[in-house]
Amino acid sequence: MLTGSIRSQIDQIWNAFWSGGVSNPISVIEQITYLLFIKRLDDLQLVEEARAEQLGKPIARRIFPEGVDPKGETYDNLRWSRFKNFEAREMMRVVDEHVFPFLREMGETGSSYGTHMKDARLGFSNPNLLAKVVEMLDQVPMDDRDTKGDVYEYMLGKIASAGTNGQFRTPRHIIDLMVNLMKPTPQDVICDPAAGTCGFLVGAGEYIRDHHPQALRNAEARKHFHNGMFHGFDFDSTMLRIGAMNMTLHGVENPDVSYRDSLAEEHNTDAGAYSLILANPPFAGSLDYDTTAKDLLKIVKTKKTELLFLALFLRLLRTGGRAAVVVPDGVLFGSSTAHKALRRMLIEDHKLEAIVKLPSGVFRPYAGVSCAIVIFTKTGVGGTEDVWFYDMTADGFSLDDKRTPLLDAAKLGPVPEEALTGDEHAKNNLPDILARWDDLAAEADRPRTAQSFMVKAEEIAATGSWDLSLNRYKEVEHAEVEHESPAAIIAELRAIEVEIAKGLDWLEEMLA
Amino acid sequence: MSWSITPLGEFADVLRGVTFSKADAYSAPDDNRLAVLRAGNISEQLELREDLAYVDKRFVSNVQQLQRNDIVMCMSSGSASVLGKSALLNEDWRGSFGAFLATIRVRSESACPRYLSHFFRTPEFRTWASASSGIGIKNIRASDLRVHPIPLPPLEEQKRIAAILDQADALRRLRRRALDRLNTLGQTIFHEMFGADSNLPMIKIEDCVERITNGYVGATRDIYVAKGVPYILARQIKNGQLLFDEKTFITEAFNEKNKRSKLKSGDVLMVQSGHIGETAVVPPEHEGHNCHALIVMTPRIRMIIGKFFSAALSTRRMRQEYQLIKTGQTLPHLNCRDVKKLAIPVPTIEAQRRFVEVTSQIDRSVSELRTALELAEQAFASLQHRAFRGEL
Repeated sequence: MLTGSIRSQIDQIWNAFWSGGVSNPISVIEQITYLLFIKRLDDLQLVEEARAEQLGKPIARRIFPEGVDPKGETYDNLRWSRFKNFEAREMMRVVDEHVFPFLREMGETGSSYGTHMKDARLGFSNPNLLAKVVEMLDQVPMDDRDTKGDVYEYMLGKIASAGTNGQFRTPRHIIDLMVNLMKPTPQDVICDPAAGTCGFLVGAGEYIRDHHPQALRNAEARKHFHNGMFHGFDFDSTMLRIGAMNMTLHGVENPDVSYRDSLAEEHNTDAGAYSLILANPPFAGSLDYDTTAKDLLKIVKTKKTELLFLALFLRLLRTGGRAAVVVPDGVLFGSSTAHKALRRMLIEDHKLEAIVKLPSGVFRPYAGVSCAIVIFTKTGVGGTEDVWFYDMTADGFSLDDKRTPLLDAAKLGPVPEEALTGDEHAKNNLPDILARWDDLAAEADRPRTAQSFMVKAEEIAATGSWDLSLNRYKEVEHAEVEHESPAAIIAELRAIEVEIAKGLDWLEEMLA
Repeated sequence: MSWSITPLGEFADVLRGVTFSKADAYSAPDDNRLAVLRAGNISEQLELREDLAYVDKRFVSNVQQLQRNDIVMCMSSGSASVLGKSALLNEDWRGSFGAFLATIRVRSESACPRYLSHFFRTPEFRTWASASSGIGIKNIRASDLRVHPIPLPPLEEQKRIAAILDQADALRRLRRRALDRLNTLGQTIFHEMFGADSNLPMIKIEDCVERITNGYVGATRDIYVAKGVPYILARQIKNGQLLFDEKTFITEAFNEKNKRSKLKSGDVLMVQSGHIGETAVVPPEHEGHNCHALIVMTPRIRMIIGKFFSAALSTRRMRQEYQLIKTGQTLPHLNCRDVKKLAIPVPTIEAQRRFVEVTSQIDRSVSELRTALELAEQAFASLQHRAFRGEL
């Protein structure tokens, strides 16, 4: 849990950037990412040095070489612990002219730390800003994994609150809900092909730490957790840097966060590689049809990214693999051939399990588009029996652009610290969704007027278009409407007319 | 006119309301809390029963407790048109008023609160009030109000003027009430003829219509012209009537470009955003015109009559359904796709004709009442104007 003082320290750093002229929130977080990365390099070497000293052996893994860099600066000066004490202009010179070239070089040589730093550049030229930010970052306590992760998430939250400049970021409580619905296990191989800041992968990692602590005790499992479990792709290198840093700060040592235009590349190498996909892929994005992967177009011929991503998930999942993904509502009822083909595939070739309809303000302020979470398992042989529909009407926050919390922090999210009352359920449906999902047997008898209910696969197929929109199946419960009789209204009208006539007489008399 | 002109402050107090923070306001009463009126509680009368805030009694001084015959006035507002609106407290009521309001309390025998209340509602006073200073939030200064000149005839004359204006005001209210009641009559007749007890077939809207589409949806800033093809907007549809206000026109070229939504006589229009579900039938004079963001439905003539269709779409039962399918959080919106899946009861064409016959008579009465209401409004304005010039 982030304390108020750490929050205020971060807010100050953020403000320093704003007043220093770096105002695009993505740029701010990118610059902070570089600086945290530089700090981490020094931390890693300090650990190695301490270990070497204890063991009385030479340093096993040296990040900063001995001697001087190609421009004649000693590598020691490139370390955070050294340059943080320099005078501002000197610090600027060292960081800009020596540290950043060093980062780029690391990126080019393919070091696991430096992969995303190939084109790292210091994005401002104000020595005082640099000195101020270095000093502030140095004071933020980032000793344990939880704090580091929380600090970074708090900063990422600022992208969300920064309005139009920010990028589309899935709200963390929706990520938590999806992770809790899917319950990742230590054996899973998890992929998000549109990873952004890696929120889903971070959420899955935290879930495994909380629910399967043994996953990190055994060497084999630990190796899988750090090296094989998490795969995130994006084609925005800034996002990759941010995503990779997010994973690192959440204690995943070597996640596969890499550059990939997920829809443009053939997927022969990792087809069937993943057991769990969690994603909120971009929709309504522009797409170069000519460069779209042919293997995806074979599954579904369309230019719509939301459909191509679903095809991609089916391709990437291994048989038996599961997915929880956010799709725009149109996927559920769109009438194009591609829409219908994809829905047919989910229902008849694989196992569609649930549609959770989200209220339309969930992604505000970025988009007002209505969305749903689709949960399915790739089987290749069908298996859909009953599809569970849930009509989420509230997620704990106001559904306007402000997204103000409607409840105390302890009552938000899918797994709140305190139980919710009926009234509070009306403000936060997330815990109810989880509870019902965990007891699907009890859902079978729910009426179609309830907030959640089951629909048989045959009924969906019988629509002819494999329509998955909730309204198609939800029934309206009509409140009894009291109607007056026409005679009573007419009698009242007559009485009013009499009163008006009397009133007019009286008025006339007064004016006479 | 030989009336004395007296500054308000000489015979009445102007008291500012209670200051409290948002966190100090409650939505429910209890023994230690007092109700507080806000600007929203002032309309033609004071709204004393609904939308009240409650604050701890300690925030309210003795003089800030409202008394019968107090006039509550809005002193601060972001909107100039709200500034200066006022109403008289004409009953005993326990409560107070917020900081954006003031109370004018007559303390002298020389003035009649009802007369003063009418004075504050004259167009002249409202114009003075709305011209008050302030950027962002505009304020009427209490000191300005205290020196505002009030024409003050003898008390008996004030009472006589107040009684006449009260009466004229009551008459126009009665007319408004009559119009409201008449507007509900069609619905109750519909319910009686085709209501819940009947076993009529329920038919989906998409099966009742030849076309269902919506008018152009997009910015209107650049499409209006001073004269051209009438362009029907949502605000022109109310109580089952289409009342074109002669203000919105488009070019013939724009009309042609959007011919998909060109109107035909007998089409049914439905408001798609905002006051969702209001409907009206397109009269012959709007044949070939166009509309903005309204759902346009052309009924299948052998199956359904426009007038009946419009009534069937406006029932309270249907309005409940719209609430369930609406999208949009701040502004409710209906999608054609969802509307056409809804079903309505469809009786025989003969039964529909009977309904249309009855409701046509109601429409005529509505039109007559509307004229009568306009006259009542004019009568009130004329009396009000004369009253304070000493011409009554």
